[in-house]
Amino acid sequence: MAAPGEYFSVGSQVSCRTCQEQRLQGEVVAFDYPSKMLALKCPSSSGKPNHADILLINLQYVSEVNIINDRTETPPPLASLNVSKLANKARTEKEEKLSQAYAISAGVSLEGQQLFQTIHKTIKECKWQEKNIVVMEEVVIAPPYQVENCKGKEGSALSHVRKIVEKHFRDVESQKVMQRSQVQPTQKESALSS
Amino acid sequence: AAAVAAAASRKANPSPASPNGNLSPGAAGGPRATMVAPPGSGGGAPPGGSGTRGQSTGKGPPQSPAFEGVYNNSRMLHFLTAVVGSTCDVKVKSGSTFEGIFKTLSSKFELAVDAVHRKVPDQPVGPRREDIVDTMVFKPADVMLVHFRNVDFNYATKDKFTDSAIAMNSKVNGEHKEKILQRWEGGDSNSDDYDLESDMSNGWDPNEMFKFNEENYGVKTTYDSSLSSYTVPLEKDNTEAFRQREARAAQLAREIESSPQYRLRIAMENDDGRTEEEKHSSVQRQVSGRDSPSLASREGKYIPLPQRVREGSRGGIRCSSSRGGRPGMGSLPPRGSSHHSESNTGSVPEQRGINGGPSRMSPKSQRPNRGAKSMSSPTSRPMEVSTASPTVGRLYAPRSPKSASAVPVSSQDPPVGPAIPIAPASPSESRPTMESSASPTPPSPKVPASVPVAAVEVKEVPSSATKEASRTVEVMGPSDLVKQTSKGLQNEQKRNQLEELRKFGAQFKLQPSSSPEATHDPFRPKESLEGKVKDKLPEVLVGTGGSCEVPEEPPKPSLEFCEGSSKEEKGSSEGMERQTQTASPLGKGEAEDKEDGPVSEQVKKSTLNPNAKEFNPSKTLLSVNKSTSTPTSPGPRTHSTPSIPVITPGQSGMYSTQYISYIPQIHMSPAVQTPQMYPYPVSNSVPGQQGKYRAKGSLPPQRSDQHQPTSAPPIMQAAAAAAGPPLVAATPYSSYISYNPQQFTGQPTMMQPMAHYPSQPVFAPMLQSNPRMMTSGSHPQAIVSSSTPQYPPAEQPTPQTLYATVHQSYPHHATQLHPHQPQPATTPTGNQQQTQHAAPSPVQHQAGQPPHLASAQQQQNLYHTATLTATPPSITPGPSAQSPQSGFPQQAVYAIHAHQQLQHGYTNMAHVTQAHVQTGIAAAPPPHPGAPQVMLLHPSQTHGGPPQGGVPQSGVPTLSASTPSPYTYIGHHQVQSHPSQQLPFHTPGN
Repeated sequence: MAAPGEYFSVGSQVSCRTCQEQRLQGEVVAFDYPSKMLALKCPSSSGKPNHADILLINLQYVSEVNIINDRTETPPPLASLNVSKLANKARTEKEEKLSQAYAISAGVSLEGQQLFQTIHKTIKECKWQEKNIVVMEEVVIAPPYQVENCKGKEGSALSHVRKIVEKHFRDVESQKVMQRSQVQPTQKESALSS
Repeated sequence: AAAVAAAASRKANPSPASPNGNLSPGAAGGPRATMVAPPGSGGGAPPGGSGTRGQSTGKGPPQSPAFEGVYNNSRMLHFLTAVVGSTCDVKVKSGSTFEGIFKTLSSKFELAVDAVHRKVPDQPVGPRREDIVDTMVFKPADVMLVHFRNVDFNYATKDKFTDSAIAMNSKVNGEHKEKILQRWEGGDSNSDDYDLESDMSNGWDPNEMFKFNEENYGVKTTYDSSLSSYTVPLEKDNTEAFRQREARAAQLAREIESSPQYRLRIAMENDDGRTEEEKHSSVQRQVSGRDSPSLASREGKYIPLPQRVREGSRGGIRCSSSRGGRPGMGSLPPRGSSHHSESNTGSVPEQRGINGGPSRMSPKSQRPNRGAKSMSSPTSRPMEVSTASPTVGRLYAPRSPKSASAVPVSSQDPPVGPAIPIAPASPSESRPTMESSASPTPPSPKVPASVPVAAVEVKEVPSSATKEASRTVEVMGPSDLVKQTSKGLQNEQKRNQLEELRKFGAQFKLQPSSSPEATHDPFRPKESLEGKVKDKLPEVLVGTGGSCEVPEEPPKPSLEFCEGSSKEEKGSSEGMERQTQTASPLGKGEAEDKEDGPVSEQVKKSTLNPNAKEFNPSKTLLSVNKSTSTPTSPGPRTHSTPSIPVITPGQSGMYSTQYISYIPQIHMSPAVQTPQMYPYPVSNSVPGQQGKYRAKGSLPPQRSDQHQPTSAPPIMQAAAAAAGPPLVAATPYSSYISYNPQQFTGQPTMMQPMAHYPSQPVFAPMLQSNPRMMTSGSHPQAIVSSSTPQYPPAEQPTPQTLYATVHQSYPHHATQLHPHQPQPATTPTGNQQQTQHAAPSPVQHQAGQPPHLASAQQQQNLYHTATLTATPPSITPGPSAQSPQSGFPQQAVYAIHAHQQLQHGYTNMAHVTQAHVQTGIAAAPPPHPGAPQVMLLHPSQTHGGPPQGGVPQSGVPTLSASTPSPYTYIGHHQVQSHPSQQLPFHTPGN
């Protein structure tokens, strides 16, 4: 609700159709008249209740806008944001993506990528070294990234990583079964091919 | 618009470019891939309403220092800032989708996205490094849709409550320094020694700030505490108009402060004014409700003067609220005042109507009265200020005149504790007045000496004095509680009275109340006054004064109690009527006094009623005496004099604790005479006691009246008795408090009060019971009905007659007893303390006396009261006072009263006999001194108490014999219910 905040009232439910015939619906959180940008909030694509998706729509490419219901209530005040925290998040996100990209570009298999993701969830200190995953500078996991491929100094670190790897593949296995049963057989192949 | 156009023009380019230019970060060629740095030219410049992008600006600002474009849209900016770091899919108009991590946006809405790669529909595997563009900037014109996924809006919400957050936020006054945390030097946090409450300072003292600024910044404050720049100081004028306006203002303030809403709000802020009982005991509330708004406050907790006054009003309100009838009662007090005026005017009904609005109504009614009678009308409200004084004066005046004792009585009544109960009854009626009167009363006690001298002058003073007195009373009340209720009450009462007297004396030129000494005189003065007003009345009053004090008190107490309670509820109106009647008969001054007296009596009655039963036993003795005396004189004189005395006594009694202030006011209103009267009474411990007695007595009288007429007495009594006990518990405090004040007024009986205190608790119960009696018992109704009818019709006539009778009886007693009275005074106080009976009696006496005194002097009044109390013997005085009051009401029933009293006496005698007799004996001989106290207590305890007291004084045997029959009824009923209580009290007292 920019200057002419009259166009859309915050909190109202809006449905619009883009020029690409895409249906979009959500709750208006902001609108910028000069740029014709409309921000909608809709349920998170991940399904997490405390998360939400934000759609930033350029109304210049929208053929139809329908206000499903209007809300007259005054929108809640905007909470102050920790910008530095957001900036850090943006940086780390970017680094992770790039890191992954490096690994992928190095020809790491899909299993390897998945394993890396899994380990990374638990242990941040892990990176790609060529095609090897190096965890905490102590444990190196070489393709094909099985439990027996975990090498390093015997100790709690190694055993810990092995447990993670072991569990990862167990989960993947169960996931595959489910996926196959659900008709998604090609994922692995495609992944391999890629 | 321009921006849009530009965007449109660019569209063409972007679309083609986007497809082609995929991953190359530069994408310089393509319009879409522009550097993050925002172009110098602001995009659209639509004025954004809110330019506060503040926090989000973080990244944005660097690019464009000035708020431009979207930066003016705080809301948009906020959400786009919140999604920084989130993964986003940017769909351009070409249909391609790029995925990246949103980084920032420019004022022109150009979106900077990091680590962007083009999304390929069928690509489960992540992008290769070479597919990723470090940063891409999308022009708004090229963007069709941006989808930010899985945004957690709480992620970046600033925490404002951690030390780090606070420190980070310390951008105070534009300074962006990191806050330096200081070590806490409050000592060991684990130790319990540190008292958070110890440091009462709330931040800087203004003067400290001024000084600091002057020293450190050379800034000198121009603050002027007088706020002369903003307001004009009030120029106090000595003109009549100014005073009137002042009075008016005070009245308004009082009205407001007495309003239920105001009280409620104040109570929420400070519930100190309420006792535990008030808070948690419905029973007490009822009792206190009537009697004790003031009582309650007085009872234990310290209450600011203003609040006390309010409390008084509150009490009235409470009473009304608590009891169905109370409202009426509450109104009644006002009525009393109004009655005075009305009585003068002859509009009793109106007063009642006024009663409807307890506190407020009363004030108004009082005001009207004032209008009619400057003194009378003011009485209720005047209490505080001039108006208050006038009203008070009237109220008091009535009381005082009728019974200087009346004032005392009122004060005494409060002390009695029973007073609370009494107060309830009277409170409803007089509460408004009570408040005012209550405060006044105390003064009156103090003033007494002075009061007599300059009643008119005193008026204002009285009000203040009354207020103070009320305060003192309250304070005293607590002490009383601590001590034996009886003694403590008495002491408090005495003190209050003394204080009041002193104040009065200081303010007034009148001599300090020499109540004891004057006792005899008071009667005479009263008589003379009455005589002036009405020859008969005076005589009656005189006679009654004496008789009332002694004999009547006992009976009256019982009657008052029974009737009083009923009256209070129902009879408040009656009381009013009586008052009015009395007032009218008496003549202006006396009339006022009488009216006040009636009111007080009513009040007392109400309170008394509960006590009345108990008292009856004690009263029996007194009653006997009274019976003899009352019967004789009451009939003739009753109306005029009796009414006054009755009213005052009853009111005072009723009000005593709560109303005490009111009573004083009333007295004050009477102006010179009344005020004086009151003070004297107050000063005289006896008066106060009498007041209590009266209260009790008043109730009994009412009852007796009712009973006699209705033949309901027995029932009533029984009801009262039944109700009495429960009430006792509740009322005690209030009653005590009230008593104390009265007692203090009673001064002489300080010691006695102590002894009496114990009994006072009983009184309180009694009072409570009385209220109940009133409510529950048909008595109240009957009484009310009977009394009211009588009063209204004959307002002057009947009431007068009644009063006259009572007075007569009292006078007789008083006169007879007067000699004793001095002692009785003490005893009366004791009585009052014990049960309110004493107080009632005093009140009655006072009331009775006041009329006489009114004409006479304050001292006389005091004396009268004192004498009355004394005459009745310690007990009798109270009883007499009560009896007079009650007698007045009863007087209407003349025969009835006497009978009732007699009955009560019998019953009381029977019950109390042992204790009473003992007490009586003790009291009788030494009367005033120690014995009286005891006596009083006993009397008070048992309604008979007053009678008994009277008996002792006058000669227990004879009195008992004479009164017994009448009292017996009351006494029996009361006694039955109350006996135990009474006995306990007696014992304490003893």
